[in-house]
Amino acid sequence: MSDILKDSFTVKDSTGGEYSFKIPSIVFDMQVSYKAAEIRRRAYPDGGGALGSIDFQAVQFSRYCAFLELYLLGANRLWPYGLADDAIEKLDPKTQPAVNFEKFPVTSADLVYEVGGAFEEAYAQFRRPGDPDKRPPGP
Amino acid sequence: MIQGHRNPFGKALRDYTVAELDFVLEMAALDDPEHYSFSRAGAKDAPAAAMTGWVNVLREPLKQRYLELIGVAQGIRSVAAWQARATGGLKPGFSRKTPPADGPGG
Repeated sequence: MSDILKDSFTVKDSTGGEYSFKIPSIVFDMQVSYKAAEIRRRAYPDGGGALGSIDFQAVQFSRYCAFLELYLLGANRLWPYGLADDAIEKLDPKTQPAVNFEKFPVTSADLVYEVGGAFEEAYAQFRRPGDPDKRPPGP
Repeated sequence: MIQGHRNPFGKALRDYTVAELDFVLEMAALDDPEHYSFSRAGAKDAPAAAMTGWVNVLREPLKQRYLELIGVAQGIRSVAAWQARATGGLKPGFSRKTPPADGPGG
């Protein structure tokens, strides 16, 4: 019963970071595809977001950034919000939290892969209706 | 008298201070919220909304550190202490100055 009411899930990284994500809807594949293309365009405007001449790692990185920008609800780490984790004193309460991959600290690159991979793994469970313990939340 | 209108209940409108006029307008807005709203210059609720935004996204233990930093945690503790005093604290006939039963004066 609890799964039906569930609207988010949490993944962990290897450093003790916890990240809660909104459970994606049926349009997940399309949302992520467009967002990842937009991210590639922002990172490298000349490429126009096209997949043609980029390597697998760039594709994967842009997808993982898209997961964070689209679905992250909260974390016990500040890097998704563009701040170093020991910089909470510098957090300006007057600003709104926003996830923008362009502001991720360079030290968070590996964490993006780690959290993105954990997200994919967790999300796959919601798409697999066979296991009664891992039934999708919606009808 | 302003534009031919006179306030029959007191001083002329121009003799009111800005704070007094603000108060009247604020009360009028509360009386008829469907038609009027009142917000003080520089007192928009955006900072409060932003504060709530961060509280919503930060998870423990970061959230607690943030609440400590902005002073909210202290406020929450103070309210809890006040509630504890209000509900389970002093009894009739006793005061804070009454020495405890097992204390040096009890």
